[in-house]
Amino acid sequence: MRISGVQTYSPKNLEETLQILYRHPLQFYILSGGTDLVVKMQDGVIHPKHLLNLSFVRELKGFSSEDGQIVLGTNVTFGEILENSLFRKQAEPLYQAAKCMGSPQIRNLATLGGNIINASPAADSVPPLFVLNAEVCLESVNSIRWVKIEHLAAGPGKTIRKPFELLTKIRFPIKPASWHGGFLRLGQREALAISKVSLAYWGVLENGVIQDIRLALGAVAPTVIQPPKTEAFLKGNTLTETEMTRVAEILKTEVHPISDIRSNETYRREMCGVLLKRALRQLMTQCT
Amino acid sequence: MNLNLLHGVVGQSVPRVDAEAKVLGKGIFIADLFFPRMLYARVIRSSEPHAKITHIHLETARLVPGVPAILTAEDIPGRNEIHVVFNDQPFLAPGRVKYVGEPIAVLAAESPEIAEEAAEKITIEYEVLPPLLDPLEARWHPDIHLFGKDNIYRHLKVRKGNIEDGFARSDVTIENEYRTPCQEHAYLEPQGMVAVPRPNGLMDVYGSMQCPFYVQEGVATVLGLPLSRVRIIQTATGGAFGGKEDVPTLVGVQAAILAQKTGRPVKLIYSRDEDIISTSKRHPGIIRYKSGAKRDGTLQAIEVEYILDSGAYATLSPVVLWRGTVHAGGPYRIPHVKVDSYAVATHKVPAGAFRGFGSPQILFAAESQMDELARALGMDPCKIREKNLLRLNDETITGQKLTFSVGNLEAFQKTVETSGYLKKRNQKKETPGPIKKGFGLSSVYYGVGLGAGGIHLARAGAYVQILADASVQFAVGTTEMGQGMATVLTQIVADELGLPFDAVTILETDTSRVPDAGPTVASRATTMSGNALKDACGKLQESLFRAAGDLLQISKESIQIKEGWAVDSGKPGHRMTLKEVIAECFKRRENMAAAGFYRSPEVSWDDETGRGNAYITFAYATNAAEVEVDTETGVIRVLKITAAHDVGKAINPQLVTGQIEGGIVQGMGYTLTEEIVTKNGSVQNPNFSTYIIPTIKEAPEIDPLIVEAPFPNGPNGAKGFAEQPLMGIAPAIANAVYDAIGIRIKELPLTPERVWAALREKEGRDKRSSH
Repeated sequence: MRISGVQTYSPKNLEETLQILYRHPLQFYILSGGTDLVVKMQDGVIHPKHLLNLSFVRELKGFSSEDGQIVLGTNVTFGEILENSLFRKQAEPLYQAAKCMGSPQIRNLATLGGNIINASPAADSVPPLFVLNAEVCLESVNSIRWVKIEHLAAGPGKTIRKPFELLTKIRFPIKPASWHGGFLRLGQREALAISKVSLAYWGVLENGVIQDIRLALGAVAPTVIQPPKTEAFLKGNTLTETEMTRVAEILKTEVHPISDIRSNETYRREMCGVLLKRALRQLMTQCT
Repeated sequence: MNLNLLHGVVGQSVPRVDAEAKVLGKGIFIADLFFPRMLYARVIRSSEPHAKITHIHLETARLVPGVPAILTAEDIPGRNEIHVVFNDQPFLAPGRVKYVGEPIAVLAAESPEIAEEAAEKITIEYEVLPPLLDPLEARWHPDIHLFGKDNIYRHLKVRKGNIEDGFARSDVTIENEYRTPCQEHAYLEPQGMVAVPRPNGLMDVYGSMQCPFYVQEGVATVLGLPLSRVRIIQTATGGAFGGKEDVPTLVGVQAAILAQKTGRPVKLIYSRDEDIISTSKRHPGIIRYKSGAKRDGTLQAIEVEYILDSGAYATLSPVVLWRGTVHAGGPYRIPHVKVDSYAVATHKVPAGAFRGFGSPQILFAAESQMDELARALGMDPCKIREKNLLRLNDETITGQKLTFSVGNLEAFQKTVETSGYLKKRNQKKETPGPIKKGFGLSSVYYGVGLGAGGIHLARAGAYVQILADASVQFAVGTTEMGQGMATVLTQIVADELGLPFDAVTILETDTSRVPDAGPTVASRATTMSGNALKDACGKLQESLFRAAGDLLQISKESIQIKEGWAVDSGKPGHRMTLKEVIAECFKRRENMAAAGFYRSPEVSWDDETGRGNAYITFAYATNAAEVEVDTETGVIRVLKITAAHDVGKAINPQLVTGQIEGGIVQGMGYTLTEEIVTKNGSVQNPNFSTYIIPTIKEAPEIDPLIVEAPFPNGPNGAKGFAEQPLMGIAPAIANAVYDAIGIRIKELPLTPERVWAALREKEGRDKRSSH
């Protein structure tokens, strides 16, 4: 219940951070924003002896937009994402997801990297990163690799990150202004709620025909998922009501929700179809 | 009314006396309290809903350094008993546990960490027994007995008129079963106490609570001390809602018994999980409700069976059931009534007091029924209510004649008119999209104070002292828990003594200052402590009038006191400051301190017939809810609630509207999202990420309206009403949902999943019937 006897290491730069992680890969819990980790410690779910605090690592802060892509440090908070018009314009799904996460207090602390690496199937920032074609950088003292976001999670709370690796950066390409997107979700309430179902979309529509579209869903499978059949059906399609009803049915076959304290399987599956239709209608408005 | 008094601050929205401290974070809550050499307590609890304890292993825990005391049922110096209404609840489980979270042992350690470590080393062996978790199964269960022979804590009846005749005369009858969930209080500050042993066997206990005199009784009983050696001091209390009525007794004794054993101060603060798992909640209810009315909408009869899932010990269930039973009909004239209600024992955490106290459950049913009757009769729900509302000289279902202070119709009209209900309903158009709008009403009434169910506690003491500098200190035995009592009572005292508001200071509630004032529950603090303070102030006024009369050389009958002045009522320019008058009183060595006492008027109740003058008076309210239902997702959005409340007199209008707003949002949580879920008796959602209370984002627009039908026995005409704002919210919203989508959902909460499933079911029905 109470946090005590924890040693915290607060390195000032990335090299030092990676060194510590390399030498003691299994001893450290990594503290980024702390909005999940500290709660778990408080609840006695985990009992870390050593924390590696990323708060002071310069290289993990801030973001840039160059060479046709946006690169974010792992420690960028959701508050920062909301404050910058870059995201509202170039990464609508991520911006909208950031808007409905937690509360102002949580958004000011919680980081994008933390939300990703927790690998919760309900993490609100992850479906947007799927549709934005994001990659994450896993770095260690002697290696660096960029991994597609959809390859990162291996199950609820599990990732392919090696113990000595650190998620340092997130990047995604900037699309032409004709691309539009968004994030829709259902939670148990408007704020401070974990999503029951979420859906991110990112696409381009010309003369009523879908040129390209990417979709991702949260909280309806062990990890965030992309529905390939639904996407394939939509590409080159026109969005009549009949087509939308058909595609909603296809999507329902691609999700694998469960019943838990927050909702039930049937409702979650049905809501995927509802959110998809709403997303497509929204896309039509955005593209006209 | 005393003509010597002109009104100053009563009726004005003066700022709360505790506002500054709260806003600046300076309030001292129980967690902020520290004493030298203080120990930290932990409670070891049952993991089983029903079991025999075969062995408690304390050996390894005793080896942990820094744990001076571990106590079980065998170590209790007094009686192992927590008295609430009955004496069925032990302080520590004596060999048998009846709910998950039931206390088995307590320990004190040098630090919270050591306490936790030691607690984890205690293991308990059980012989697990089958639990009764469903009240319908538990009632009259042949083999498993939690309470008596039938597992019924109390069975209550109301019999009025002739029920067969009533239904025979009805042109329509509607019969439905309703279910309501278990609601958690979700007060901001969890339970907590610090016990401090004093020399000569005295025990002081500080803590977050509603009812210091209950804690005093509990500590004295279990510790084997006379009441005179136990002193309870309330610290700033961060919300209670009924959750700090009986439960703090348990918490206080847990800290005090360890303080007694070790001779050192002991602090016990519950974590949120521990608090949710082990403390009282709102009773889940099952309500079978049959209503009958004539073609013109006149109510003829109701027949109600009301079952409260009360948990493993009786605690307050017998009186919660009583209030629910008395309120079964809602604020209407009903000639023929038959109510049977049951508080049933189950192997779950005991349910207890919660704002509304057994009435929100039954009113959800009663007010849903009113709309169903209206629908069957083709009437507007507004008209059927108006026709049947209780008016002056009407009788309640228990035969109580309402001879004064009946603002029922006025509250109803104010809400209907201000909300534009009729206009909005009539102009409502079928909208093409998935979002459907609806409007719903509910009318409720609230029996003020403890009523005949708690008449033995219906008194209050107070103490007022004028000091030499013309400032005033006063003390009462009721408590401030956020509801605004301290401010309202300060306003009353200021006006009674003619002194400015800021010359008056309320002292913390402490059992050693005033006689037993009973509990701070049942919306009774303003009326009870207000009247006790008036009694005390009346004694002080005598001295003031005498001295002022002498100084102004006029008869004391001509004196008026107001805002710091003693004035000659015949010649307003002829006056002197109360400061001078008070200085004169001190010169004369007058007693400028007075004790006050108030005994509430007589009430009555007959257990066999359920007849009697149940309450000293009633408050009344009508709510109008405006909602949107998303028919694709089942999500309900409450757009606006208009609520007029008859409060007798709003001593502080802003606090009244604050109570209305708070009650509405809490009632909305009860209606839409809140439900404690249990699995084999174990709470599955013991924190706020899974137990969903509303945030400011869900809060609707609220139009709080005040109606004042003065209560002759209330201070300045005031009646209590703080529970009422929550009571009718669920049916108002459910009725609006019906108006929006034509579906009557009879089980709370109205979650999107439930609404969506009902919509699909209706869609299926509609399709089948069109083929």
